[in-house]
Amino acid sequence: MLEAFLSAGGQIFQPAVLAAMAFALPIGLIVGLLPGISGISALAFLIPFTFGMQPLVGLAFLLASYAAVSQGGSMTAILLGVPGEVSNAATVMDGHKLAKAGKAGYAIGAALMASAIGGLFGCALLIILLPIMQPVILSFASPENFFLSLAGIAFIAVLSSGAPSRGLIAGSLGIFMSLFGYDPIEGVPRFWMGSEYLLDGFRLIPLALGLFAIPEILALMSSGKSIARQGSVEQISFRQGIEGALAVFRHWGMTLRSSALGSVIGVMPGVGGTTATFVAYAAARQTAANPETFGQGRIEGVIAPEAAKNAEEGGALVPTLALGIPGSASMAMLLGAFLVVGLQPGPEFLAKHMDLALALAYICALANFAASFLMFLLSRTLVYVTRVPGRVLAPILLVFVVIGTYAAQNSATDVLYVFIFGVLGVAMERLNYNRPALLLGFVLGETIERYFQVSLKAYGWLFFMRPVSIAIIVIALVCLLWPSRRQIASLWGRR
Amino acid sequence: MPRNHRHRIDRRALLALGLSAGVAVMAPMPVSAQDSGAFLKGETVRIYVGYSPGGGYDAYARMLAPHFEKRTGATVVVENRPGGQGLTALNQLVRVKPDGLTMMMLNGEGAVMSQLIKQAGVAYDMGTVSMLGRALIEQHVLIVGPNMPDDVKGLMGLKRKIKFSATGRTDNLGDYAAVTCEALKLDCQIITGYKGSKEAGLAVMNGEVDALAISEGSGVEYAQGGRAKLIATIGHQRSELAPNVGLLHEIVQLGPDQKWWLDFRLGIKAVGRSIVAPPGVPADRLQHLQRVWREIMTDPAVMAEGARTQRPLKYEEPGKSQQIVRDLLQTLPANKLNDVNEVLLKKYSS
Amino acid sequence: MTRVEALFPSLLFMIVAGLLVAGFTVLGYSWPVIAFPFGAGAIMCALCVVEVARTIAGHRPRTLSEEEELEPLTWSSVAWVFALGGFVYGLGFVFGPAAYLLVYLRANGSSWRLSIAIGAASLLVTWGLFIKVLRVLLPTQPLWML
Repeated sequence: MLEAFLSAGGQIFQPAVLAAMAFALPIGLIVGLLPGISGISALAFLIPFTFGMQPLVGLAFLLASYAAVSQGGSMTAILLGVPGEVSNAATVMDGHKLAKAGKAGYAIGAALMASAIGGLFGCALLIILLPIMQPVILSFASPENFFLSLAGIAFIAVLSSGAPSRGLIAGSLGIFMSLFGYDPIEGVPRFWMGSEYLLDGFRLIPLALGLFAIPEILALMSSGKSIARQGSVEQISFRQGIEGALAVFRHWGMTLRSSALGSVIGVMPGVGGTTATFVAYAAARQTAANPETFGQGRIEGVIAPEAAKNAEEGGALVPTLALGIPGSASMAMLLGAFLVVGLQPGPEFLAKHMDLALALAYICALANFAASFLMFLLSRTLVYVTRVPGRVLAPILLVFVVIGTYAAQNSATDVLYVFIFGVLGVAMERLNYNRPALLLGFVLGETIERYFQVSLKAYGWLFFMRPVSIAIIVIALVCLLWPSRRQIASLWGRR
Repeated sequence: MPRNHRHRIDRRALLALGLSAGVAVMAPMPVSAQDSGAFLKGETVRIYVGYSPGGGYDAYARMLAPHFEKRTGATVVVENRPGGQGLTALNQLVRVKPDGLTMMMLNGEGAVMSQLIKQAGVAYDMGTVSMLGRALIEQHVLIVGPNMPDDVKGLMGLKRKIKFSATGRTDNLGDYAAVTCEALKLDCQIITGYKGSKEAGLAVMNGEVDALAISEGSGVEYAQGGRAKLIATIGHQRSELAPNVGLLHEIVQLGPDQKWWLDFRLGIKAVGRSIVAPPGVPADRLQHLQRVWREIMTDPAVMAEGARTQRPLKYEEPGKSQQIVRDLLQTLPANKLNDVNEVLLKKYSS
Repeated sequence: MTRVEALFPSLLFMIVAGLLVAGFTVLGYSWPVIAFPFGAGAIMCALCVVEVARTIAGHRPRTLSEEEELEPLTWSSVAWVFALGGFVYGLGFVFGPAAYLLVYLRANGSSWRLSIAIGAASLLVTWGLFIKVLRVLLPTQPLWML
């Protein structure tokens, strides 16, 4: 085991590997900063470049660029209110508010430091768990996935402060929308109405961009002003960024909790990584003082999801490497890349190439740090974006969104749907219907149906009587009811 | 002296000239081949893939694309158009201009199955699609969970419902499971709804389901380390990856009805993963494309590269695949079609 | 404002309820197929009814616009956003965005130099980065020609 650790360390310090990372990081940063390009699209663009590379070099290239792209997605979430991926939607809520208040640097600094720590946590967990992973992963079957997704949905109610009923409407609408298209059991396309595009239902990228980017662009065009509406008095400097980074350490308990949540959820194959950030956000809210101020620009609302997101990616590498089963959509793509470079992840891979697997974990950690650091250096320039007048920024943003949408799946109809969902997004923004809640419902709705049906068929109605399932239910209930624990305790006492 | 020297040089020059002219005249000038490939030179060729990047079809397309570029002088772009479980791209392909510049790396089995059972959204006819060559044919194998009997006879002797996992009814997992159950007369329940074949494999490993009919590559992988057991190959030939595993009809005596189901499904398999083009490509362009793809997919260097990167190539002539498809789609009697629908879609659903 | 606030959930109710009714009747989905959409849709419709009732009764959670003093949207900005669709449809994904940027920036107060520079940069990104480097074939022809 020790030789594997040392050998892995030796392997990553080869010039080719380091060069690949050095090359991949700036590319990933630039691509990730383009609004309209999600992390997965970026990975898709970059995979062809790895053809012909040596295994570790190619994978280092991809892992590093993915780490960088994730950071970019967080940046656009904060600066522009446009999530780079669905999981960034949780960051949008408080992060963008901070940017509008002229505190973009503060939010960025916190986000980057939280990402670095979360990523480190996730990769450390990866290293510890890899050798013993298999039985753990095998204990998570369909019922567990069902309850986890259900718990994710329950957190929707928590997400929307100030208008919980509207948040629930948004969430249930999202779930309803996710059920369009082929039903997972019978294969009957629901509500496709003869449109070939809708055979698979609505698509995530047009939805996310329409909901978040279009309203933001419209607002910028209407006002003509920059994103940072107030507080433009403050000089742009690194000071805010450093303050933000320090805030992460001030809230170190929450940071560690969010990282732990992220990595554990990331380890479970099937649920996919999107829930991790929302669950972490909700947990942070539940355990904070004055939870109703979340959504107005609380820094914890940035730290928690950011830490969870990067931890989740490290966690998702575990089932990917240990069993060859992708822990998230991006891991699914990475798995394809493994095959491209001639490797077959799984227990055999771990037995024969443990040092390679560990090397990947190191690269994961290193890339997280490097990406965060590079982005920090860029942060001053990035903050300028919030000072650019809307009448210049808005059309550029819109063009990026349109091009990024087409590029994702080579479909002009996707672009049309961005505009359609844009109308929905504007209505929801103005009337205070929580948009991340809709997105979360959309991502989880189909998953819930799928795992419910499978669990029912495989185990019958008693499928919830499994230890891990019960544990998930209990933990979720505790988390949801935590803020009300005093009332519950007094009710119990009065009995 | 100088004059003679000059003469000799002149004569040598003349001789050289004459020789080169002669060689030039005699050298085989593949005029027709060059003409027939002219429509590709310098053009942009698209290869559609009906799935997201990183998947198997995508990997094959991207592996073969540079070879196509080298042999034709075209620029090849692999376009991922996911949707409709891979069929939306095919729908789009058959509507494109058939000029030979747009092709697709197709899940042929899935396409034929979907058309056969008249799935909603099918807007193509596999009988008219232009076949350019098959890249791969995959054997399927039967794997069971670690706590299940070690062999097929044991499986048949179980006195309870045997649960199979699948992602859908005609996804190469569910349909193989259905015909296996028909052939072996098993009491089965095919649980569809898993997100992908890997999740279906995981379900076997953790005991959620009992069995899975999956492609040989994945089957061999899942069966490692005792996490699952590979008990039979569903095919006419033994799997190269697991040559010691017996074929279903070797292990069990199958009656003619039971054999029919296996033969039916295995017939469709012959279409495999193919490169196709829209119907109506002009004959000369079609032949040229077929020739180029044959050269690529039978080139030992390419096959070696494929073997090295988990993408083996097993070429088959397009004419053969085309014939098989036409036979299947046109000569299946109506009553058999009903039976097929019944078995694939309804019989084992609960 | 109350009317608009009540309109949104009402619209949602009508669309979702309509789809569900169609699912049971015209489209003829079997129960296993329609079960989950029915569940989610029914919950949403019930919540919408409650929301409409509460809005009409005067109970209004703070809307974002009031809280935040969001700028009111102008019709011209809506027109400009949809205009990009028109440019892309008419001129393709390479020249459409470039022309749009040029026109928009110039019409909204930027100098000729900036407008042309940004338009040119757009050409560089679409044609140079996406088509040539990343090999993503953004259609260069107008969409109506495809």
